[in-house]
Amino acid sequence: MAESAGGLGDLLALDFFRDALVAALLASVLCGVVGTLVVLKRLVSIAGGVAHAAFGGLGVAYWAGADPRLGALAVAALSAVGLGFLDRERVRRLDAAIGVLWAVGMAVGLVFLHWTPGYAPDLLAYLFGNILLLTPSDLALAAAAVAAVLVLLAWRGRELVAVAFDEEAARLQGLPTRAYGILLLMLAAVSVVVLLQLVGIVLAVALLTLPPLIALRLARSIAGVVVAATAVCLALTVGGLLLSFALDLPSGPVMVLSGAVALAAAQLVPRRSTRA
Amino acid sequence: MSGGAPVLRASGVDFRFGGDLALAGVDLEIGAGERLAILGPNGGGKTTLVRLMLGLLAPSRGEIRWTAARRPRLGYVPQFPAFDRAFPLRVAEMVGLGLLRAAGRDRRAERARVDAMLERLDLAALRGAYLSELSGGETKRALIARALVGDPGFLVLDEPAASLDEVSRRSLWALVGALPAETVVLLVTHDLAPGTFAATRAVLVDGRLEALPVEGLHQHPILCGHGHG
Repeated sequence: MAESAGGLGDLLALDFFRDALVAALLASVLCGVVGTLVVLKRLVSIAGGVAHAAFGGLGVAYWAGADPRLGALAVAALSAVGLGFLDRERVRRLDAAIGVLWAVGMAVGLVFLHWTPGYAPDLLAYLFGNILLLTPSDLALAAAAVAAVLVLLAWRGRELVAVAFDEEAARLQGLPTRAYGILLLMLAAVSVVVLLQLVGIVLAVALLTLPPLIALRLARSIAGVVVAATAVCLALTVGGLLLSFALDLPSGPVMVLSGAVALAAAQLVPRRSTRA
Repeated sequence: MSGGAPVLRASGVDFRFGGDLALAGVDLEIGAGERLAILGPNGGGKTTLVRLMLGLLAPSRGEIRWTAARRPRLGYVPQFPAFDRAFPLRVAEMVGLGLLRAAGRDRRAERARVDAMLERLDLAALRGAYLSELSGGETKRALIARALVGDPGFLVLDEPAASLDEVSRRSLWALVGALPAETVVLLVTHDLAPGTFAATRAVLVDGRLEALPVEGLHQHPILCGHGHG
């Protein structure tokens, strides 16, 4: 990680650090919006399956000389659609399908990365991320994803909340709930690919999960939870980055461990009642 | 069928849970304005029957289809809430989700409709409360409000009075009694006291359907605690 732990002013003078802060902000919006929906709709394990399947796409794309992010995005999107079409009432089968996707995705990715000729890619950077190795195209991808999510939220936010809250009731009103379910998984898939650069595939699900869980202890309304989750994610990513400099540790795991500590602390926050 | 123009028809419907036949040979036609009481023992298939009719379950055999030119708006009060009560929604927001497909999407009109429904179910004081703060009876009233706020043409009430106090029960039956004449109401119940639900037809569900006479329905053994459940 960093060679030295200089002051914040020194760090901000560095281009790669400023890029990292921008990426953290963009990722935090994804965590706040998409993570909240993923947690409320209880899609965390499915998002985990999609994230690990994406690693297979990344490996194949790397081996084929293509952009690894595109490979990850394609497989994540395909996995999201496939899981979205599975019958949710057969829970055990769905659970097994996620497990298979999880393991096979990782195995495919590792095999193809192993087969990649020449200098071996930095496997750890993909598994655990390295926010300091971002390229301009990484930032552009993150900005596009954030813009798409915000437009979607403004256009169909209420319907997405309705499906996340009570899919059956939404279906009875004539909403195409399967399509909305797939849309939610696609949002999770895109978020996973963006978060890949930040904390890596293994830990991406943690950033989609920890901030909303913490936010649910701090805020009561949906909008409040989304805003709080965004703020918490930003605090975790930036705070984790600075802490990783200070402790000379990899940034991704430090962000996630900071989140775990914050989640434990959030359990101590008393719930306020709106009733007299 | 004893109602108006046919709305829904079930023909030769079987339903299996795993390998077990839960419902067999269901033939039922429902007409506009029918008030159908669905009685039967626990595990007899009452909830399965209404969920099949709503399209929430698919028949293992046979066919259920809407025969009206347009599928009516559906309202459903499930026996148990299907949602997470920790979901960060206020009562008024939850009831407002019953208006997702309401014409116009005029937020002010929506709010007025929600407020009127909350008033009628004695929930006005709780409009800003979160779902996690509601008692079982209050949650049931909020579910009833969500089902009714969109003016459903086909309303299914699955044990709606369970966990309601006497005042709330009276409000419920007054609301159901005031529904437009063409509204279909299906009521699954073990509790049908005189002066509550004015059934135009009744069926007993115990793996199969059996028509029951409406006259003297209140004294049916299954309602008086002499049945299976």
